[in-house]
Amino acid sequence: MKYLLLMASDGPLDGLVGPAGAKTRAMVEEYQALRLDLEHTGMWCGGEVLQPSTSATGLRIRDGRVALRDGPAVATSDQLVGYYLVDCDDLDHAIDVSARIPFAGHGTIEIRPVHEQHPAMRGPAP
Amino acid sequence: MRESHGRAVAVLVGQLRDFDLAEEAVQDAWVDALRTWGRDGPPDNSVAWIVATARRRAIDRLRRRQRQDRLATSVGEELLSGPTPELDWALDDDIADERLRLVFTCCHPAIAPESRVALTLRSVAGLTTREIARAFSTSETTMQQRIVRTKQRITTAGIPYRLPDADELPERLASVHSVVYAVFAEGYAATDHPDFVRVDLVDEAIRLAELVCTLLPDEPESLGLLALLLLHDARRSSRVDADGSLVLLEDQDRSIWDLELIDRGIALLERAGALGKPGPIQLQAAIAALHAQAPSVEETDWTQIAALYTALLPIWSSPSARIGHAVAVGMADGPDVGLAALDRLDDDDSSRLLAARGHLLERAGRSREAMASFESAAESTRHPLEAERLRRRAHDTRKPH
Repeated sequence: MKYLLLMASDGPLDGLVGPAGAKTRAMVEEYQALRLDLEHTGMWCGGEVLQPSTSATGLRIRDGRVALRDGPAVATSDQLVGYYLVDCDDLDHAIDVSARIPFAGHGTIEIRPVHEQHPAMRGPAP
Repeated sequence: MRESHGRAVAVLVGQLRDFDLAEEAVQDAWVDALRTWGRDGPPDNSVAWIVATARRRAIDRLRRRQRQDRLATSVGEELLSGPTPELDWALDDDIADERLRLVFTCCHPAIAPESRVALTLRSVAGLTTREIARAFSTSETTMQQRIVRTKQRITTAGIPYRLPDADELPERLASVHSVVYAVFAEGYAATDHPDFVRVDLVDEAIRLAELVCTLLPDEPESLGLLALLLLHDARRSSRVDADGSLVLLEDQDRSIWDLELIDRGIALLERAGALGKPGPIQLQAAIAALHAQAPSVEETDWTQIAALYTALLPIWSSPSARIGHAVAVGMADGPDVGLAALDRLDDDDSSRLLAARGHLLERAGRSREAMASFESAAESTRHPLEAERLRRRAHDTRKPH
């Protein structure tokens, strides 16, 4: 089953998106090794680091009109710094992967299962 | 019957990956059993019969569900299209494996601790929701919701139904142990319960600990847990006197302690020790064993108990272990040493800590301070029986010895 591994920051974001010092380079290499491994084992479905929440735009349609908003739209999304989408056997497997994300050492990983049978994201029945 | 029920549910959960369907199907099978066995007599292997019948009932239920809802689960499709397996898979070894998987699933660390306890009592021990609600002084509706949510969580979060790998086993087993201990502790110091001991929960915890030891016979901490529970339980009858008041360890009538349980506990502890992997639960059981074997408080091997606590604290630093250590040191090396150890604890002034201080102050001959300490302890406990016992203790302290 697929899991979205959300990287949520508990504080300042220096560890992942700070200036490129020696420590950061070593960490980026760790992320790259994890990515390669996830691809080789067929678990990789996607993943990105997000721009800061100040770059976000909120959109809603009310009374038929699109209304935009500057900044994060969801209360906790300013803490969101990136995500992985991985295909795992079960929660234990997803826990193993999450424990290998360097970010777990300074932030929190939320392991969120994907609703794989939800018809909203599938094509209409044949 | 409870035992067969638990086994059958475990096998069915393993096959269906659906707690509710498994439980409903097993209940259906019991209804069939009442009818058939009454007429033809019970079969040789009643568990296998129940499992086979429940499986057919589950398929009936799935077919009905499928008609109502075209979105059948993959497990359901598999079950409906696959061949009916022989009864072989209902052999005892397989059932043992299924039960163990179920225990680990219900005690998975990704489930909130109180939900682990509730689901284990429901699905492994086979208690009714009403019984569990009563045991934890909550409403049946609340408990029902908690159990339903936990079952849903297992499915949606993808909590696996399998035995942990060797490297995961210690952590997972520790979670199982704490669930079993929580059931025991709730039974042994039952909050708001007139008898102060809920025998049903105590027995249930011992049954669960026995089950784990049967399924994993070479896990020293599991053996230690069963030993610990039996050694505590051996003192059950002496903890409350004829008036229903709590009796302190030093005043308990040691002649009514259950020697058979004590012997079983010590034998289990020796078996655990022979495996050469000491751990926190074995240390606590060893402390309980020394108390259980001592003819009186004075003749207790306090030096050895203090040494066991010293080994325990770095790996298991609970408030009661820290207090137990200070008291043991006080009994072994003199009350002043014990009082100094208590003063070093930065725990809140819990009832237990105040009572321990009163106890050591009394031994140091400081009766007035001891009395005050027992009285504060009585005020800060939430158990009415415990409060009464401490007030009596404060009163006794006033008398010259």
